[in-house]
Amino acid sequence: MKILLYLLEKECKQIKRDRFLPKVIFIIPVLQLAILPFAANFEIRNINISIVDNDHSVYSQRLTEKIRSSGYFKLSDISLNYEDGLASIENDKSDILIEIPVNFEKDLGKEGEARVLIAANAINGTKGGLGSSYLSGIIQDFNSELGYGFSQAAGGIASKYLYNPRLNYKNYMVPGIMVFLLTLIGGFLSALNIVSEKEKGTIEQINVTPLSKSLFLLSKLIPFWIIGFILLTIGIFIAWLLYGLIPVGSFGVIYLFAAIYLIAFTGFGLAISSISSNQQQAMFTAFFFIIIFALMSGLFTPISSMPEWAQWLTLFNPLRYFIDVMRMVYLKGSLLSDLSVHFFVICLFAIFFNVLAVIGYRKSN
Amino acid sequence: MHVIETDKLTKRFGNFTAVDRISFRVESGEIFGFLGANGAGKTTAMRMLCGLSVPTSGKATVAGYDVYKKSEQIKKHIGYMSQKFSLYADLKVWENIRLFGGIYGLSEKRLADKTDELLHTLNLENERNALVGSLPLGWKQKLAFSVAIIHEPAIVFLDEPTGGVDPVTRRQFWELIYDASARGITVFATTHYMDEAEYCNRVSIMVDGRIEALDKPSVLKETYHAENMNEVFRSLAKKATRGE
Repeated sequence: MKILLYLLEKECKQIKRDRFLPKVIFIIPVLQLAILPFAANFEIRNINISIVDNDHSVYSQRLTEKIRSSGYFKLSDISLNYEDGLASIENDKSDILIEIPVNFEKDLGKEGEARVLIAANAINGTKGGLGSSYLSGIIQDFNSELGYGFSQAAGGIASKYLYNPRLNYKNYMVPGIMVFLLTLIGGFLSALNIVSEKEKGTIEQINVTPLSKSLFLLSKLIPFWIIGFILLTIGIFIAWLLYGLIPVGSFGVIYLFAAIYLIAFTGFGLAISSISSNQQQAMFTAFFFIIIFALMSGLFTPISSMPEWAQWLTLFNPLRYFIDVMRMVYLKGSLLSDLSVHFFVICLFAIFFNVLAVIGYRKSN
Repeated sequence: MHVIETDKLTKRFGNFTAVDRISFRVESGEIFGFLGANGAGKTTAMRMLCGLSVPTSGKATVAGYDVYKKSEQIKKHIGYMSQKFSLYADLKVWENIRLFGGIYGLSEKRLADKTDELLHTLNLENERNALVGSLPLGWKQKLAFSVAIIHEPAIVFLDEPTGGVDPVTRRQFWELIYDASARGITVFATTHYMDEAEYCNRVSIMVDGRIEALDKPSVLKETYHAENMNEVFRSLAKKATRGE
């Protein structure tokens, strides 16, 4: 055990003296958490709309105003007829058009019913779909303001959004991005570590000593483990500072999971490092897996909308579990007892990757 | 007692036989020169003896331990200095000494004494806090040697320890080797410098993976009717068919 202390002393000094690492450790979390939640945002804003108003009435003016002030739409033009509006979509000036028919106000007043036409450019399916549903929402709202439509009727539908009542996309993304952050640091830095000793030749001097493999790997794992904790803490702080996000659940659960997750992912990096013979190999292997892990983790796209075989594959993705945990603890306040399966699975990953690292690291060839 | 004993020790990489059935013995306390042209298989043979490479066939024991089954035991009793400088360039001189002393299980007290003693012998007292990467090559090599024997091993393996080093430093290096030998450490060294071969008690000359000659330098010179080791080496090495 005393030997471990000598090794840790060495690792810490090396990390401290590295010109690159200490900076990365602080810059990465700040940049990722400051930029990614805005960029990886599926809220659609600034949809260009073309309004075809054939009625020119007070009501049609009010509807136009309501659309413009909703914040989702940008008025690209007011067209004279449907054809002009369509041309505007064809030229990519507008994403969506709404046509208000002649006698809109009169029909509404007389019969309590009038029809408007919505046409959306669905090349970008999300934008088209969300655009028309936002627009329907606004029209429904307009109806109820005027006393028409089904919000007055007995069968009206009321939805209530739980855990993230304002549907703030960032609340959903930030905890996930924190996980991604730990993955990057745990995975990449450790993947580059042992292999760089191979390139420099220093590992020979270690391999010729009676030092045990697991002790050597442990001395590599512990520093990254600590760095991971520091990163997570910085991440939690930034999430609070920039987004006012504080976990509903307990910090204890977050840190407990982070502790095991970091062991798992540092093990993943060390395994790659043990097997690779140079930094390029290690980098590409780590990159390959981390990209797949990230894309199939539910970080950006919901797992439930993946095809069944892909959903099945995500079961072998450590990222998926920890992202789940972070979102559940952050937004729902889930307890450890709610997350026992996640806990068990992440432990398995930790064991698996580290055993792989010990087996993969050879003192002789 | 023989500290190293090999019997038809062989290493193949695919179709290529790097080391071809070598058999030899090294006596305890000896300075044994392991000569050969580039690519003759010296380093590969040495790596097998150090437990860094698993032999393809044949037998070998080092310090009484079998190279197949007890390689971790062997590692407790040997020191090794590789061809490529392999101390940590980003650690200071004393930190490297401390690290390797620590790995070999020296006590804190012993480490401190050993560090002082070593820095004094090497005349590196002023460089105690210098990063190893910043030292001139000759100093690095002397430091690497001292670190390799910090735990007073039975045998120390040196792979071209004086490559690229100036004559004065080489001379000093050999003084360190004699000191170690006087303390009872068996020295097993490869070299390209034939004047260094003369300093050895016995030398072997490898050609194309095989040991072609093995004896005292004086006997070899007589056998090959040569003035010096250089001529002995050339008359043997010209048989080589392997290129660089």
